[in-house]
Amino acid sequence: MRRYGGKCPLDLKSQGDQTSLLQTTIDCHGSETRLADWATLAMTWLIVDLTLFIFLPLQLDAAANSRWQEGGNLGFLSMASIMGVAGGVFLCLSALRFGASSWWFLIGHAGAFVAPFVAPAGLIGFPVSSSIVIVTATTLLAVVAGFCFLPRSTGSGVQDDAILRVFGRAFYCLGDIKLGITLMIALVVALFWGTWWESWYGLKSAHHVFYTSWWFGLLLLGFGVSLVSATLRKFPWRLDQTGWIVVHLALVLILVGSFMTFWGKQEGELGFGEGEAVSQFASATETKLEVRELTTRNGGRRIRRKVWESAVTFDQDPRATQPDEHFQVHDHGLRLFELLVDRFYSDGRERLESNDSGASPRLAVFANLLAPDGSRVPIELVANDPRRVSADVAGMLHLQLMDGVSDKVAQSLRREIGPSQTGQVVVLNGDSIEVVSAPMGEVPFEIKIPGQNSSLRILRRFDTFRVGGPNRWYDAAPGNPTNPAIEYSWTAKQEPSLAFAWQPGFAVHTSQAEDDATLNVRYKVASGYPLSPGTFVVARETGGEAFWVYQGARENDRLSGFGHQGESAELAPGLTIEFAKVHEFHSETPVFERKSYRSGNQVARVQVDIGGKKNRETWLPLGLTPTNIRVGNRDFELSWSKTTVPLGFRLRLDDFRRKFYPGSSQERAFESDVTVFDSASGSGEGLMIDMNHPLRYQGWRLYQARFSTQGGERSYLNVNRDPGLQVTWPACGLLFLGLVIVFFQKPFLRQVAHGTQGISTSKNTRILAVCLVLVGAVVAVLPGVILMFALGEGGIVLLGILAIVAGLWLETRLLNGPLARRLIRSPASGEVKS
Amino acid sequence: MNRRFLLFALIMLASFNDGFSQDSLDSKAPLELSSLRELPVLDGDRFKPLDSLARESVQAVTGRERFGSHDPVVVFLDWAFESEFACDFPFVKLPDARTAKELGFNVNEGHGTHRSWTELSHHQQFRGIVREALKTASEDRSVVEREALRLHGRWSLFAAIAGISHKNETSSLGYLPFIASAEEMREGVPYRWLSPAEASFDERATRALAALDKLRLGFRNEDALAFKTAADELVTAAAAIGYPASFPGAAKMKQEVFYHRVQPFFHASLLYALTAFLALLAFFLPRARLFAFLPLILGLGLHTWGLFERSSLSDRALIGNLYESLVFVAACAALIGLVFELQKKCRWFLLGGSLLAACSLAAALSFPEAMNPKITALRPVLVNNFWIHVHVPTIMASYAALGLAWVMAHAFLIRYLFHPENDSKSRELARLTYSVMPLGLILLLAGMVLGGVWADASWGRFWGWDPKETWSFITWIVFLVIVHGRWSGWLGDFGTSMGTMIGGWALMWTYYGVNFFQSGLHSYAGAGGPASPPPWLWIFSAIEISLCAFAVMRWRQQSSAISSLTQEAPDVAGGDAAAEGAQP
Repeated sequence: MRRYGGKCPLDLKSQGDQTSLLQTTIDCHGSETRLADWATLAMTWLIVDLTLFIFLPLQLDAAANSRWQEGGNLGFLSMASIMGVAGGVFLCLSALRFGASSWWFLIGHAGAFVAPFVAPAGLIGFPVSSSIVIVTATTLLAVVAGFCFLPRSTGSGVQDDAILRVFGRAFYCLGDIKLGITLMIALVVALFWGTWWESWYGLKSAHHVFYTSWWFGLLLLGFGVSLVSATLRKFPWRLDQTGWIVVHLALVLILVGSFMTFWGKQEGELGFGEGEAVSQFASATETKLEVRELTTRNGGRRIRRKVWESAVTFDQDPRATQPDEHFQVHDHGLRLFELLVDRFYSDGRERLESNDSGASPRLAVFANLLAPDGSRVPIELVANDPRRVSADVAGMLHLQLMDGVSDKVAQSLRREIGPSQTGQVVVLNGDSIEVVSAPMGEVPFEIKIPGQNSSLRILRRFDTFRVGGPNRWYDAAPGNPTNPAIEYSWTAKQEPSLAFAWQPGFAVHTSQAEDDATLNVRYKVASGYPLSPGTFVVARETGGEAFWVYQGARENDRLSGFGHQGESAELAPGLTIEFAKVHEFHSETPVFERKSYRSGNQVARVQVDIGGKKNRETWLPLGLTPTNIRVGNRDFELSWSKTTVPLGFRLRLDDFRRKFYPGSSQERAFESDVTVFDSASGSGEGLMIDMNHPLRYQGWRLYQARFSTQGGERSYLNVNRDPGLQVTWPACGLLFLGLVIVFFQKPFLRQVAHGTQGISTSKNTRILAVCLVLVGAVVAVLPGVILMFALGEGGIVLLGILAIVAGLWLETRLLNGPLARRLIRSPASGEVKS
Repeated sequence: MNRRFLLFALIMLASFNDGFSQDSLDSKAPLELSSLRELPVLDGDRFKPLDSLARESVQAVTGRERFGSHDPVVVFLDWAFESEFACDFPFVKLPDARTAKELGFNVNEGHGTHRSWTELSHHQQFRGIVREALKTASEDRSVVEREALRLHGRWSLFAAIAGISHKNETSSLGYLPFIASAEEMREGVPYRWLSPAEASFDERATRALAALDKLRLGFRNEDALAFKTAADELVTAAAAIGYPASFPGAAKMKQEVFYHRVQPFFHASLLYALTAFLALLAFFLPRARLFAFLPLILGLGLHTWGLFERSSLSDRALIGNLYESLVFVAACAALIGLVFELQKKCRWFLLGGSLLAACSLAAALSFPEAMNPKITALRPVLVNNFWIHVHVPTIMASYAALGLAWVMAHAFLIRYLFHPENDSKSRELARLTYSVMPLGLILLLAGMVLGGVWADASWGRFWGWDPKETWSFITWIVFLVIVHGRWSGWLGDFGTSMGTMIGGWALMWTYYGVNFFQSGLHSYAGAGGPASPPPWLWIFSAIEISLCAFAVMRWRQQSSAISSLTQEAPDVAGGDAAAEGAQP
């Protein structure tokens, strides 16, 4: 360590660093070290430049369809990242040039951090070609400057005040490998918990509690600081540390990229049908509460006017189910009411809560059936609900609810129509005034109608009418009236019609006698409404009281009574029914309960407070039906929905296609043809989006996400914008390259760096050797890359990867080893230096 | 007719054992099946020879590819052509004993672990559970319900092959190659092949149907000549109807039949096991090392051939499911073991590599329910993407490298239990353990980044903290900690091995555990959402933990012995890290 007399800039290197593998001390001599430094820098920059400007853009370009690629965007952010590193390292080098002051050391640190963030600002608006020139020039300048300044460094050690020394020492200590390991272990523990948290509470919660929390950010920041310190404190770097430096810088860049993602990412979804156009999308992360006023203009047109909106955040943590958030709703500074959100479920299950305060009459009975064996079966019968209007209790009862029945049906249910009325044919005129009433005789027989030319001919009678048989219908059970009917015709018309006893208003077959007179034929049978044995009916006449009827095993066992709340009736020995609740104006309001912590049907409970008077709590599912609020004589509508974000351009879906595997119904691909309309020029461009080929436009990327077929085919696209990626991509490539150098090229580099002492070859030869090795590495990797890209997918890809690894390995064995041995042969003994 | 009556009587006597089934099916042995095997059929998503369909169906229904050691094609034809007997024979596999009990089956009585289709059709409890399960949303189903549905699936697959129906649940498998009408073959419209009953309305199928009837008759009468003639005729008649443009050709069918007949992975696993044995022997007889290379190279050749055949048959890289990935891991493990052995010449890599390869193959082949060997088509999101085809193999190669390090750590710890002293052999073993890690680290990182590229191209994010992603990152950091710990001198030989054990567990969890306990986007890589883990997992964990516990006890003994030594001679004590011996 020529410049510091074997000490680090901060006079710390003498302690505690002897164990580092990369810090094997070597006794260097002036010019040799200079050369090694220079070679290190040159190689580093060469690798960085190659990676960023040639390798990665080519890769990305090949991966995405090139016409969707925004060269400018990609270019300048790549430049930005390299500028950042260049700036930081240049400052560090300058630190050493200017007497190894701790100031410069600190500034170097700051530069390495700040530059990646600052640099993009300076480059906005430059075309790609010029930014390449700028960055290459800067890089070259940094290298040349370092080369020129370094040899003249005085190396007089630390001459700053105590505070600075403490700062510098702190930074130096941050780069300790043991601190790094501790941080890595902390990271592992945090991630371990994070994955469990995710499987318990879902990804959104895990993001909130772990991955995007402040402490996780601090942990990552600490990791970054440690990385930078660890890298810089090893300065001056040796040739064999190249890979290691590249890896560390790449990791720092990845962290920078992830922070950029954290701050700048926007994502969401948009859905449209064929022919529709959209210019905005629903955000995946942000939601808002919105109040609109509903007014009716003359002409009955309803108008919605937005009164108030607020971005809400109570949906970030699924565990916080009782947010207790207050919102004051104002309209032009005038306070309208207060909203109180007191429940939030990230995945709510809807349950209907019943009450007796509905607007229209609707019968509902909640009863318990006490069976002979002592069991208690709860029964729920609700009118106008196909699933709950009837029920079966196995082996005991069939229950049925009949709401709003006519008085005739009610009477026949209760068997209040006497036996004297058995088998009567009644003819009514249009105003339901009885024209004639005749008892049934032997069919066929005729009934004369007063004042009419034609008479009524009764053709057949049925006790249990059924459709089918040779004569279109037949009597299924003569003598057992379960659906009594007659077939009749008017002598003037001859077409037979039907009249049913239990369905008096059966419209199809009730016919007119003659063109000028409307006459209805009714058929009355008085054995009561037919019920099969073991049927329990709760019924209510329109405007009447609820009553129940029970048909026992025998024909004449028909019990009845009133169904009041709290009453009970014994139907058979041991079989009792209790009316727990009877609702006459039944209504059901949806209530939500927590299903899980995962992200599903998000729902919040809102209470409206109008001047101290609180309304009923309402449940508000995310993005669904708004709820109405009435304040005085004004109507408002409250909704909770995803925030819409404008795209800045318009997108129209022209065609959506699903492709299948040949000969099967398994889907192979989804594709959307869209037209993009530029907002500035208004011109349209037709493009295709499919599962693996997103649309890239103006920094947005749109992916084919899913589709739905309900209400016409709709295609859904994921929308996102992630500024951090432009830094992350190159950094990942850099990281991979660095690791390859660490693990494959290090032996050679170490041999060159270590062997500077008894070297017999000239500097130029060794520079040539370094270049040769670099070229060798590229050549070694080439066959594998060609295999992978040129020969397509399938098994070849595996072969390509193996070929890359094998190529690198061969290169290490065949080229690097012999070259190093030739270069570093000690003149005295001729033996290879280790 | 006589024989049929005899069979019927036998069934009535309820002498259901394997002996019976062998008798009835063994008599089909002289039937010439070779032309029938290559008959192309369309099964859901791809064209395959009848041989593969039979294998997969018999595997799916009975749980074994060779039920009662019969040729699967014979069993398949028995179901299709003699369904009236087959449906009363216990072919359908029950779930494991505990779940079966919940469904109302006792595996210790009746027909053991299998039941007949008829018995299942009339089993009230099972059918009740299935009805309930179908009403529940798929994510809310309990383990028992899920198993009941799987059993129901086997039950209905059998019915589809046999062409029988139960109540309203009619189903019939279009397993015979009759093309639907021309307008249904348009691009983008799903079409399917017809079952014989459906095809009978199409006059183009007349010849094939006649051949099929002859085939049925030949099979039932065990008339070898008639059967062969009918089979040949069926193949020609089916080809005469014409295949769609996407049909890969008869050569592919032949190739697939051959691939299944060779069983490359099974035989490779045997060769690897032989290698492991010879490598073990080489520790006592050094000459055996050279002989161990032979089966390893042979096995690797066979294995590679199998991989290429399989990817050529499925027309994609082996990224479909857990089975394919595990087979690929095994090949990588054998290759890495071979290369490192050639380089280091230490016998350990020979042993470790072949052992890891043999174990991975054994695991892939012995749990067909968790790791389905069926060649399937890919989901839309996986199709047509270069990155996924690179991502998965890279990750698998890294698993192989890190898994090899894990196996070496086992070797170190087991040796440590008997020879805890810090001798040259233990140093060598620890160094060897360490030497595989860099490769694994690079590959894992490359795999993660490639996965990120794919995720970015497919659903718009580079990194989303999906459990599988996070866990591969955890694994990476754990191994990174080991590497840095060794560089810094924090971890000595023992520490490296213990760290590698932890890393190996993290690896296992990433590869396997996440699929069962932590659902996520990578579900198509595993068993399809959280499920109950297999019981041997607990046994394995117990063995691992006790190995580590014993090793740590041994280490504590050893270090207390060292410290008592150093107390006697204080000048020798160099510092804790230095005493462990940092390796440059």
